[in-house]
Amino acid sequence: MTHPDHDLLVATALGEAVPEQVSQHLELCSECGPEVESLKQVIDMTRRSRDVDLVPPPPAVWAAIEAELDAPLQLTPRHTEATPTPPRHGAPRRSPWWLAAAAAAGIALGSGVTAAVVNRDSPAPTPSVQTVAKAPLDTLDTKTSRGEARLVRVGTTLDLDVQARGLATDSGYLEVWLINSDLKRMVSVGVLPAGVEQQRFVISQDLIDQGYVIVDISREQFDDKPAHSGDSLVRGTLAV
Amino acid sequence: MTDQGLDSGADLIPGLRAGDRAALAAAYERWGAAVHTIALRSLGNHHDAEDVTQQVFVSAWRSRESLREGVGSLPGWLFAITRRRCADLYAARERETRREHSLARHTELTAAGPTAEDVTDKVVIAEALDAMGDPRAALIRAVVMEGRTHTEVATAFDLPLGTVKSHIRRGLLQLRTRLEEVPL
Repeated sequence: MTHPDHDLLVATALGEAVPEQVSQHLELCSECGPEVESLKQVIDMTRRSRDVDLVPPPPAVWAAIEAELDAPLQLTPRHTEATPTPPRHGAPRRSPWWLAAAAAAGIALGSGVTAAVVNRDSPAPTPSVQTVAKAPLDTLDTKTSRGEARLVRVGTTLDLDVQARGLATDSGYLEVWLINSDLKRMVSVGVLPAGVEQQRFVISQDLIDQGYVIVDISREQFDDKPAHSGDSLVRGTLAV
Repeated sequence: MTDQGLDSGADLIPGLRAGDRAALAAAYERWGAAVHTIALRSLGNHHDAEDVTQQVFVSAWRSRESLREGVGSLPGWLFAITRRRCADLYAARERETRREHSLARHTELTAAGPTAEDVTDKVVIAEALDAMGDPRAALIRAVVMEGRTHTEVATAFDLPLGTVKSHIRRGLLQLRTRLEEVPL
């Protein structure tokens, strides 16, 4: 049997007029008939795809992918008595890998929340962002305001969004802590990079429930002492 | 006429298999928007869509060893993972709904849910058309979507009729191949 040219099958599937003998052939042929049906389905789906505009994910998604790939294990906050969690060994240290991931992705550090809320590349994706509580960050000596910490719920995640300015490190680095209201326990939530005025840390509701509501930023040295240096620069209590 | 192949991501597969994170970043750059759009349209909310997008690329990375050059395309594989993830999440949601609502209420809700296969197929085609480039994509849009005849379009685009027909035919076959790579 001589089959019609494939262009004619396409024309038939598109609903264009084709010669009578082609239509007759299609009714009988077990190859060409199904082929036309299959093309019709593609054409139908193509027509229905007209209304589809591709929506890029917000920048925070790539950072989250890298973070998840870099995470060595499932991280859950660990509570410590009196002595803070040592860096690099402690489970609660969520920020280092998040930070590294964000840096690797070329995403401006600290812009996570902003990026998720105001996505300039696309009009649509905005996870629900809700500020749960705030804490003014004041210096311990002169009570000068140096910024603010906000507890933010982004979808199902709870973040600590830290904004601080004018904190001199000289040598060493800045570390963000959550201190329990019993003033006996504390956990490190991560490092605030030099020159960065806003940084978001993923924390957990458990921490807040257990009373870790005092936000503290300390000056730490690159030394062998993983505990809080005692050199607190600013502090504030989340009004939860 | 040289054939314009659809981007199969073949250039990225060796890098992915070798564990090069830059290859994953490139795949995300090319197909992240389509993955996200499938999830967004299937699930209807941004948070879940972002979660699924993250899951898709994380699981693609973790199962990259299973990628084989010359078998299907990288985007087809990613879209298939996306469709599966959306179906899983949708099913989980339904189970949740069933727990929370009466049977009658539940029936009503599922009936109103989006059909994931339809959504995925539409996005797969939209992505493929974007990737296809012109003149082929423009010709497909004119002939298939707008229903103009080959002859009209040949005149409008100042192309030989045979060239137009050939583009349409090959374009449709490319779309079909891509759809077949994303099974239900």
